[in-house]
Amino acid sequence: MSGGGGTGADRERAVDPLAASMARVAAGDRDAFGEVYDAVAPKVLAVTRAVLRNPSMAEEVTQEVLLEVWRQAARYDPSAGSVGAWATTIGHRRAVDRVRSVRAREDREDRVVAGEGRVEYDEVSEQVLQHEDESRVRKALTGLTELQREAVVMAYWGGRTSTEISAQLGVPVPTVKTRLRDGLQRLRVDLARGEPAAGSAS
Amino acid sequence: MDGYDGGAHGLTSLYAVDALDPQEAAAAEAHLRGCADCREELVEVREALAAAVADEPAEAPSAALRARVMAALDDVPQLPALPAAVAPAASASEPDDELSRRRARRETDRTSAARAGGTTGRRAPRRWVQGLAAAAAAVVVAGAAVSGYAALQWREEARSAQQVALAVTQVAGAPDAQLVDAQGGAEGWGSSRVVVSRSLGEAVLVPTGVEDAPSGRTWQLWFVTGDAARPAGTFAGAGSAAVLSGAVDGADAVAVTLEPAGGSETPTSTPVAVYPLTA
Ligand SMILES: [Zn+2]
Repeated sequence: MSGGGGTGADRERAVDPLAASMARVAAGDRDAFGEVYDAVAPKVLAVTRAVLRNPSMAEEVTQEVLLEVWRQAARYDPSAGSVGAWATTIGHRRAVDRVRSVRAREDREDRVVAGEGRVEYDEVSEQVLQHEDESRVRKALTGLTELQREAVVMAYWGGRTSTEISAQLGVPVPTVKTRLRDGLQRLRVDLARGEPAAGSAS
Repeated sequence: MDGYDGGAHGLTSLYAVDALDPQEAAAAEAHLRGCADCREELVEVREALAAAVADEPAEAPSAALRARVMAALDDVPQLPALPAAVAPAASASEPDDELSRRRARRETDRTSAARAGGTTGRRAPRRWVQGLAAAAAAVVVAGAAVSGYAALQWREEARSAQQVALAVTQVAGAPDAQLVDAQGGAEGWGSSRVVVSRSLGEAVLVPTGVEDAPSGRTWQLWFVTGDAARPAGTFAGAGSAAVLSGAVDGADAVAVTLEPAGGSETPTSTPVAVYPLTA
């Protein structure tokens, strides 16, 4: 499964300096938790804010996630990814859960007004790529084609399912899934090679 | 990278971005439990996504947020490490949110099954119905409801507790609900009760006063028909009201025994409590 870059990614995970802090957090060390907080809270807030598009809700979810990190510290498994990715994953999942229950209701109304999908994407894209994380996200996603990038941004930063993306773009679900898969594989390979995300000091 | 054109492996990257519908997500989770390649892929895609998320968002987290989180630590007890034997490979690679979601989903299925069984939304005016449901919820959340902060922090547990409470309400609210006291209850089991509805085919144990099973052991529930006992699920102890698994059918009684962790096929010890059911 892993190509030439796999080993590099493994190595990178193995030396996550936060893993050692997590072991101390698991023993109830609050200073260590402070270190972990400072390292991961900005990412968790960025992702929850992108998905929720509501700053106070994003803060609320970020608080929940960081307290989950504290609560589950002893169960954190370094072999299953970095602390940052772990916390970001929990944050994304919670934000998505929250927004989907709201969106399910909204979309029933939206469906009446056809053609609004594009506007929605532009909104997400604007928020994520300009207001929020412009240079970083752009750089990380430069290896993707425009269509892949659109699908990945709508799914991850927009919190959309492939079915929702399909409806909004007017593109069949299998096509959306292919774009997502290909885009995410490209992102994964780029990270393993250390490019282009690592070159953020332009 | 071959084999990406669909199939179960193909769900993994979509699962990593939470882009799957609930049924597909369940299929992806099932596949991940048995596919080491996909678990590795999941980790790597999540790693790549996290790396793409800004370290320094336009607005940094406020000092107030940090202060709130630090102040809340006192109210959030830390979980012990999972024993290696209890953590299967797939769930180890997942935030344990997934476990609670699975649990909640199971309870939801159970509840809707109970609903589908008839008497939808029907509520007996009997006062004990509400009291019982509240008691069950209190039992389940007891370990978690440590402070005012609990409402937020323990949402997952509470949700699952609500599902159990709902199941209890459904069963207890059925027109033919029976409330059965323990007979010949061993020490600590005298106040426990079973609520059963034959029309719904469901039974619930409310283990008031019951202690946790000794380590390495578990309490196990049984439907007893004649001299045959049918396993009806295990539960750890006082902290959890338990909806019995399987249908009541023609059972004469519900029984509880102490069994080795993981449960047994047939009872290996004398019941600590028996709840006779009338036909
Ligand atoms: Zn697979």
